[in-house]
Amino acid sequence: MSKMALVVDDSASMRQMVSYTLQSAGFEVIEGSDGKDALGKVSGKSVNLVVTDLNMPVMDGITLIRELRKISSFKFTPILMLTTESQDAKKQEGKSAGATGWMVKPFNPEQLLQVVSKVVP
Amino acid sequence: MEIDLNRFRAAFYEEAVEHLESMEAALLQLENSGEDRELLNTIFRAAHSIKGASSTFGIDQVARFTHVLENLLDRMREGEVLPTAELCELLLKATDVLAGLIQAEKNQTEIPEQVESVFHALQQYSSECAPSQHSTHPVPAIDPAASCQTWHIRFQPSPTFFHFGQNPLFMLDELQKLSQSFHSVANLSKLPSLSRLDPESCCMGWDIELTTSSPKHVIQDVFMFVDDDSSPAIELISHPETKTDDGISTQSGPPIRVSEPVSSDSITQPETRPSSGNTNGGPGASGERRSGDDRRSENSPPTKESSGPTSAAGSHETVRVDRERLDKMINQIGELVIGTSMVEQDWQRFHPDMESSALVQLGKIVRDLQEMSLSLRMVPIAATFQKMARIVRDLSHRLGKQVRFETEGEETELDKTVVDQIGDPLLHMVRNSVDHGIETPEERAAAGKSPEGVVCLRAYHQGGNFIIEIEDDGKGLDRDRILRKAIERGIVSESDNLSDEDIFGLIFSAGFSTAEQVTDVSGRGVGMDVVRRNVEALQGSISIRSVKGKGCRMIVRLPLTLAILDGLLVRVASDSYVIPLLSVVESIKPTSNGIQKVLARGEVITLRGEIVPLLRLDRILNLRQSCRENNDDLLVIVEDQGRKYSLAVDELLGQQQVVIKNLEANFQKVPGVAGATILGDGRVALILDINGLCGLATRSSAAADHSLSADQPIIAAEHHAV
Repeated sequence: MSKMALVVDDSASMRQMVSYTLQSAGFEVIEGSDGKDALGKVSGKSVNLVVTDLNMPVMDGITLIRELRKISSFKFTPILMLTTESQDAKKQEGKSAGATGWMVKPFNPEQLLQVVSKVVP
Repeated sequence: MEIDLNRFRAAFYEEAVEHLESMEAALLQLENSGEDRELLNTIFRAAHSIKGASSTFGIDQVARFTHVLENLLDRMREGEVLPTAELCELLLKATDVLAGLIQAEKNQTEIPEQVESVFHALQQYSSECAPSQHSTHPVPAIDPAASCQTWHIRFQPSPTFFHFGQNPLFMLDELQKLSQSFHSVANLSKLPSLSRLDPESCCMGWDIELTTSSPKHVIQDVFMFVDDDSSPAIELISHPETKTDDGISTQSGPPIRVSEPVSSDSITQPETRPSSGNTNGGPGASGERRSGDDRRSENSPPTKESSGPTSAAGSHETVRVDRERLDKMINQIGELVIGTSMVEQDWQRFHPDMESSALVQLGKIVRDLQEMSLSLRMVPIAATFQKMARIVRDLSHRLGKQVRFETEGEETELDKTVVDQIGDPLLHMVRNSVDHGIETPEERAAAGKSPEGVVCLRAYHQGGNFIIEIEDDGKGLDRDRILRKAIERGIVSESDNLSDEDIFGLIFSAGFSTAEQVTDVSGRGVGMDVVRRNVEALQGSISIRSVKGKGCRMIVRLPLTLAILDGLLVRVASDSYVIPLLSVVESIKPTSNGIQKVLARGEVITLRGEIVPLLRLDRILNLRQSCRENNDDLLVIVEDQGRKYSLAVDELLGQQQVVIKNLEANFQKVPGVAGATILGDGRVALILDINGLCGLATRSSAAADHSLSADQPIIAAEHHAV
């Protein structure tokens, strides 16, 4: 059974890129287009990794992280957030919401896998 | 692992267009509403998304541009820069430039000229000149030339450490991999008695001593996600190689008591971690990581419920499908419909008295399927209308007019192909309304109207048609001037008795333009005749209603889909033809003396007092085999652009829904023929293009008649006399 990752981003191309990269590293991927969508898709499930964008319509990444941490099966799941260099305050907010780590955009697949390997070796 | 980022570019280009559209729409709203946080957020998010993706995929020009744009938008969001009209104008221009830039990247064409000027204007506003940083996240690189150093690390994670999805053992593993020698001692001083142990809080710490050639920042990177209150103290103990000349490291650190890697410590993490739903897996023995292939699968004990990426929630999802594939499928389903009706006909032939309920069932399913497949291509007209909002805005500004743009029925759905092709004609009509229809505020005031003009786009379904109306409350069409101009240009003659609608229709004639001066806006060499041709190419039609001084309404009538057509199947000589049912008014059997020949005008019939030209299909289509020229001719009365024509046919075969096959794609354009279809019995029937046919007949009739009268110098009226 392969590892499961939840990838949340409102940008389809970013989502595709992250998903593809994780899939090539052996993850099965569940995709969400925003926080609410993602929550609906993982309800009753548990995953080994969450990668989420912060700036999203409907439900943003920070809220998603908070909501996920309330779910018992997500209490200890590594959550990586995608930020940009201009979002330092957001990064802090994300960390206090329960994010494990972050990934600064732009990044390439190798960098993503490197960071992922820190939290899900 | 090498992953080619170019594969994601197509998706990027597609979503970028959507982002730009939402940005533009929000900007237009912002302009009217003034400050609105929600709108600013929408605009910001769009720019932010484009920037994030473009920089990731290495589309540097776009990334650089959106970076400045994003900065400015961020400041607007924070209320530091106010959305003045001037700024909105600039931002709208920026979306245009960005669209051009993305287009240029996509097609590998030249970058639009304005990029730099708009870029600098944005920069000035945002007052931040830092270009986008393309340097990415630092990659720890081990410099082989660096000397080995020994470090002491005290790592005491905070009790809440696990609640951030952290696992200290991963970090120890990573440290170990960096080092030539690695020793760690677990600090159990904070470990409570078993009864008071909270498995969810972290109460262990570690003292680590490692010798590595990696610089300090690489060690710090291991703990990059560790919060300040858990962050390790990293101290340099020795520089062995700088201290001794012979290169032998002198290890003089604190005592080393445990020489085992930490992961095989007596107290390992899994026991202290809750097992409920944690699919992270225990740290287990240290081993190689990095690449996905050799990740140990036993590292992730799955929970029962994680069964796969199937979405349980009934969320509204969309799937993007390549249009070509969709068209292929719809085409195949069309074939399936034909195939089914072939089977039905065969069945009837062999079992004339038996009904096959299975066949009936199959037929129903297939037709449902076809209906469903056609609905896949239906999209709302909203996006097209949206574009017009921008046109109206820009144009009215430029012309110094006040125009309010309204839309109705944006949600009305229409075939995607039609939507794509109606954009240009619509654009032209809207431009025309603003440019020629709506008056300047002074003129309006003088005419007793409110200074603000209204241009309204309306969409709705009527029967099997999709109707778009472009209405303005401007000065309306000037009937007399149009007539004068048309006579001047030789389009009509003074003696013609024309109805108002005929006269208004003249503005769609080739080479007709009444604008006193060709303006920058409408005088682009694309006349209204092109509009009509485009609409007709979509099997649609345009009519105009106008009251001088009150306004003008253009009504565009379009088929809902281009894929199927309700047709009247007729036989002419030995061939079958399909006449679009929309054009058919009635079918009649003329009385023997009903057909009259008019000199230089071809044949006509008198239908309830109305003179209707008669078109003989065999002659127009140059059929070798003529239809019987007797008085039993059946006539199908068709209407095109408000004019009636009668078509002589040999037999009416029935009404049928046919799947249109494009003739041009497989052969070439044939005047008078809109396409072809395959009938239930497998034969091909041509679908007649009534408009083209009428044009063909009108153009050729005079010439044909000339030759006819030369050959047969008889008085035309006598020819059919009893």
